[in-house]
Amino acid sequence: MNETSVSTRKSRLKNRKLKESIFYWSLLAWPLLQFCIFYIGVNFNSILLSVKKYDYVTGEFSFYGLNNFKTFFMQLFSENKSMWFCFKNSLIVYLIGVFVTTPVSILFSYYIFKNGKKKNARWTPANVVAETAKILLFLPTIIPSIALVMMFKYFGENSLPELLNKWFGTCFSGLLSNDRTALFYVFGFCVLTGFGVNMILYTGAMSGIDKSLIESAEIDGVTPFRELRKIIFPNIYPTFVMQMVLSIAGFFTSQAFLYSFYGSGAPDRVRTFGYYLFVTIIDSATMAEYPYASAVGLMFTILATPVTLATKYLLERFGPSPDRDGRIRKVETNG
Amino acid sequence: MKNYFFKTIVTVFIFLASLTLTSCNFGEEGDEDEDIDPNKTQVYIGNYYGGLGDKWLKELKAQFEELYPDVQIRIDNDKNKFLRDNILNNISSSRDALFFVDRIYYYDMVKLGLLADITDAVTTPLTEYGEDVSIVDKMDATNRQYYGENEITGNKYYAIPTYLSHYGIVYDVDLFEEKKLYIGRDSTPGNIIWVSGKEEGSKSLGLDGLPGTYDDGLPETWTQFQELMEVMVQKGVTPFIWSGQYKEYSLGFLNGLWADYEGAENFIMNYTFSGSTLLDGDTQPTEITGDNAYELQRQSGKRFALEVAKHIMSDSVNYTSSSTRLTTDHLSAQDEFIASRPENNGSTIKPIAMIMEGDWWENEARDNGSFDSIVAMYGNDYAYGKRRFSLMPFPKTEGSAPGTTIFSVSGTAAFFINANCSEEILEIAKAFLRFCHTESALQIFTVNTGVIKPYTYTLTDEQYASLTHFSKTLYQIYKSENTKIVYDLSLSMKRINNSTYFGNYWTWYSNVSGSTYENPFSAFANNTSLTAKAYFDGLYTYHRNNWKTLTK
Repeated sequence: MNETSVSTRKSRLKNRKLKESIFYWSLLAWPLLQFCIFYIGVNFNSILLSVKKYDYVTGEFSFYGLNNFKTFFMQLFSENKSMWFCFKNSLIVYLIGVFVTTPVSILFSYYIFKNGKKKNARWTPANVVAETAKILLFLPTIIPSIALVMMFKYFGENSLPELLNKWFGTCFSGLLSNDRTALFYVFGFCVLTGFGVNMILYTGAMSGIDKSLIESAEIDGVTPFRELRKIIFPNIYPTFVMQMVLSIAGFFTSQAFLYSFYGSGAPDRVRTFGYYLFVTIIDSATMAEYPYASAVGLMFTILATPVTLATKYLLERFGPSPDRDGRIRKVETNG
Repeated sequence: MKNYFFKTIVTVFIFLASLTLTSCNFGEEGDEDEDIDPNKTQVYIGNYYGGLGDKWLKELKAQFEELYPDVQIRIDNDKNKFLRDNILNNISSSRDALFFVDRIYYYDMVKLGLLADITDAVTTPLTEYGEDVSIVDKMDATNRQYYGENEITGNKYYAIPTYLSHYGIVYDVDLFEEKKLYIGRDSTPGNIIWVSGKEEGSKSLGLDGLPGTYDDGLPETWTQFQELMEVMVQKGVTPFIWSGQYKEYSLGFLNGLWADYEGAENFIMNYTFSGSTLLDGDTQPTEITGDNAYELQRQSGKRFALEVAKHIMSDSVNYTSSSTRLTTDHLSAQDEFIASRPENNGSTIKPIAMIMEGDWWENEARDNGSFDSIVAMYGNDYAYGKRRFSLMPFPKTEGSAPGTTIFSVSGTAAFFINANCSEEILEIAKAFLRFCHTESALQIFTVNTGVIKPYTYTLTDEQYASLTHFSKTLYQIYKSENTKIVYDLSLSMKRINNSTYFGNYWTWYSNVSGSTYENPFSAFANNTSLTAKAYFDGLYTYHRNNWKTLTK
């Protein structure tokens, strides 16, 4: 009797487990299948495609060796300098991100963190400024980028030149259609729209810092700058590292909103690698051009991967870390 | 409660997941003007709803349905859905059996098996409609070669061309008369007499030397054209406007100049990469092959076109300020051009004499309502069909080829049948395709759109009289014995294998001292010290440098 009861219980348990696994896998099967087809399959096919060539007469792809990669390098070092412009502009976008957007975002975030309105507290002028800055800086992230681009495009191409024409009586060309100003205008746009997401990340990271740590530093009379440098920054360092690593990875993919501004006809002088790759694929809809587009994408991955990993390693190895906060705390209490 | 919440989440998840399976055919409603008739067989036609509209198609549909009472043709009008990339990706799951679209990746679609074989439909005489010739018999040799008579398609037809179009100089006839901008018949070299041209026989004979034709009173030479521009400026008229956003319009104008200078035999070498031609500054002709076709960048027609561009950009009085702005699309350029007359209409804009546009522009401006706002203010004299516009032939210069060479940019605008349709639908679709290419149907297309089809057909006098002034000019040009047409159809493997390069870069990319320029108009506007000669030399440098990187 007991044996039967045990075996029934076991069988029920088994049945239940089976049902659970069916349910579990039925939920997972579809995303997994999608992942296999649209990620693994597509990328694997892309790698194969990069060493192939299409023949329109036979209608088949054939092995083409490393010729597509050779073409990429020939274009990279071509006298026409198209790729050189891509490299230069991608580097500028990256450096602006690292040396302008990120530090300014950290400063703004710190200001908002320190002056943002606390729960149940009364509004102060500093709160109002901080909260307004938060909204204004985050606004470009809420508004669809294409709408922002349109606003900037019309302002730079129509409104401003018209205004200048009226004031100075000389004919001014649009800021985007003028070679000398286009690059600055686009990069300026990138900076302005780049604050929002960074600020969310950094204010989020700052709000997670142990309050007692900050309070004790304040009691010790720490200056705001020292507080930022010695307490806040080491504590938000993992976020900073993540952002730096992502921006390195984005070196070859950042379009700098060029497609929104120019469509597929941006002048060579303002192009970035990300834009080049995007337009190469958008425009290369013929089968004969897929292999080259695959080779370019693969080359970018090959170039970006070691640099990204090295950056991550170096930043983690040599940067401050709240995990080693014995040293940091010592400095803080001394401060 | 918890269980209910969990079930809701799972249901939503399954619903969202299922969307990825069903291709989300939301909004694909088809012709909303009529209901589906359950007693008839529906055949859907995807119509690129651009400059040509659908009036012609509706008329043909009505006639076809009278002939075939069991069939209901339903028109799917859309623009975005029928762009070439979208067709390529979605045709196999589309319900549209027939397609009339602006351009396609023809050979890719053939090789992917996306297009139905229509060889029998296009090569059999149209006897059921009382004609003894086939559709192919009405096509010219270049179109036959590209669409059917080649190795890639295996000498079978999977699509046929739809319409002719080229970029050129459209001018305002009423303004020319009002401001006396026509060259008088009594003019002598060095002494042009400007006339209104209203009196019969007062205008010069034009390039063709015949009275009463579309080119009467218009500049024959580049020198005369320059003088015309000067006179326009003196009379308070802005010579040019074009779309600053879409460079196709200004570059199309330059391509037209280049083609007309070179003549069909020389210009087509840019598509065949074969032949022999005398290049700029040479005394001996150069043999062109796929290996050295970059030499074609030295064609004198390119130098001439660049000189024209440089001259236009040398003074901002020659063009509207909107022409150089990235915010001016083709529709707003059309609007500004049309609204610039009557003069002093409340705006500070000067009358604009010419617009760089394509054959479809008048139809497109009408559909866009550009005429309506002027009619509302100034009455029916300014309505579509009443306002007179015309095409100005490209001026000639020393070395220009005789006659007129038209560079048609709609070579791959095609009519075809979806391979993924049933036998029954396929037969009806073929019948409709054949019906759309009868003499009468071709006439209906031109009468409704003002645009010409690349087939042999003639309008009746009554039909011709019903065309707008602009369309009459188009008809005269295309049907003239002196006109030769070159299509933007790749006829060499090098071009087919590198279609992006030849589609985007081949025409005007130039490397001047390490700087790359892609549009002569913006290059000359931004860099006033840049000369036409330097830009011309840079074309050769750019393409010679890139030649090794192209697939053979």
